[in-house]
Amino acid sequence: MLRNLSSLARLVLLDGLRRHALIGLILLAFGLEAGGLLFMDFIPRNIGRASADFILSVGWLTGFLFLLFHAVQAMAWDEERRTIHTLLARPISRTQYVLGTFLGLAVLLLLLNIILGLLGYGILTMIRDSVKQVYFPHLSLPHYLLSWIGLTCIELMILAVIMLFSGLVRGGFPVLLLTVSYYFICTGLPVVRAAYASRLEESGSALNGLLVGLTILFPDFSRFDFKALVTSSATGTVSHLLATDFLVLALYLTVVLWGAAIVYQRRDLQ
Amino acid sequence: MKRFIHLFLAPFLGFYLFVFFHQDRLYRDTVVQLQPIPSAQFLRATTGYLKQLLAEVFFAQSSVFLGGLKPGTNPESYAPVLAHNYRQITALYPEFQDPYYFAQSYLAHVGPEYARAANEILANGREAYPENLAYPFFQGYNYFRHLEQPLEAAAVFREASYLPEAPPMFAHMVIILTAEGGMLEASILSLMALSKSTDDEAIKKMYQKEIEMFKKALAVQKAANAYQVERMRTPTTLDELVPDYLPALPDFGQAFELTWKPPVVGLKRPMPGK
Repeated sequence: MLRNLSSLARLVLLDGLRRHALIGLILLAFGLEAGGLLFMDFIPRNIGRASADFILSVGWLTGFLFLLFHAVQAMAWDEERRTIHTLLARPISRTQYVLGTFLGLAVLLLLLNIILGLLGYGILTMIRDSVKQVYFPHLSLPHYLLSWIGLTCIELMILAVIMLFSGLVRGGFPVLLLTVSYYFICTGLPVVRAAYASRLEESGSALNGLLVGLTILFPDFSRFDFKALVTSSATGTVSHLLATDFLVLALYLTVVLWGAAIVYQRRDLQ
Repeated sequence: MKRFIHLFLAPFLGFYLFVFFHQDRLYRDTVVQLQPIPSAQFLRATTGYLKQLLAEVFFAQSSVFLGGLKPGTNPESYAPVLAHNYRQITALYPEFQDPYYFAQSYLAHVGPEYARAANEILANGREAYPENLAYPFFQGYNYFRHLEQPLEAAAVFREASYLPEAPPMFAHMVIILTAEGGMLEASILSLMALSKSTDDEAIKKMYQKEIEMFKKALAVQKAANAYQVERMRTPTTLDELVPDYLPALPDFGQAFELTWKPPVVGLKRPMPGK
């Protein structure tokens, strides 16, 4: 089972590298970050904070582009070019196909984030050394790593959902639209919950249950956003909250991939 | 025909350049207006992971606008939008510090309405950075200088004076502003406590001098009260108290000046240049 998964993941990884999915995005991110240095001229005081936000936002944007324009397409190509038939003709189950493909794309994503993370840290160090200490007083490496881990967690959730949507609907474009809608619901839902929080506590209405139920399906990504800590002087993070967040992530990925495997097992492959 | 059609490209390109530069000149002459940004809630819901970057971009946009203002531009022409934008930016990303300093620099002095707006914006900063002394200082200053509400200013300085890094100046500011608000007895008691808490003889001496002055002002307040009881009205000016209720109005030199907001006597620091 593990051998099948790793072989499939390797194929997806090599295919991604052949299509220049990484190098193109890295060049784009590098260009954005170089351009972003000019943007820093307009931030007179909070240079450290703005720089860290910018580096991680570029990382997020690049990862999002990878998910929408490579991961979604990679799933659609398998069916359009009938690669999926070749793969499933081997002794590989449909569940292994889902898991292997997810693994391959996740490794690509991880590689992308590692490269961008290293590049970003270099740029942050360069900015910190070139401005007065008062404008960039802290740069916490553990929090910087935590921020990238958080970012990768969000991307993995989106990737798992892409696997599910790719099984549910045919074609890359509908999956892309569904993924974008999913993302906006995930970012909008916490705001709706916060807006209604005080009113719902009083009434205890069914709407509260509905909003919580929706958050089970559409998780709150902001719980994995640790950007604010990178340049903050605060020491340590709430570890029990982090542990719960990562446990929820692991369970969410399992459930969604399980769902995707069920969908693929029942799917009529044309 | 097919061969010659490309000859038209050069004049067409020339025409395009002419129209382009004309359009460019038209836009250069137009006055750039600061556009209001959507509400923080909407931005939070739609931008997700990019919300911090977006707040910074909006801030940079407002900085560019402020930097490009022509000399003599009436600040009231852009202050409402600027106040709205800073409110949204700080609500979207309270940890980002630059908008607080800009709100204080570009809004507070425009008028009382904008001083209040600056104080609302600074309240976000105080919530995000409870130990930062600059924000309560700005807020207190705005209450005192732009809104003429010394007691509110004193309340802000009092809260700030409890912070671990607060300089003794904050507690002293509370006393001075409380005195301006007319609460002279409270000011005297606070000054006595402050005097006892310091070992610096020079500062102790300064406090003692101020206590004496506050006591003189308190005597004026008592005289005004007596005037009111006997004549069933408040004096129009404090000069009316002399000589029946006071031999003369006290002179505080450069340190303070008496204020009279019937029925309250206060003491305030003279404004430089006035």
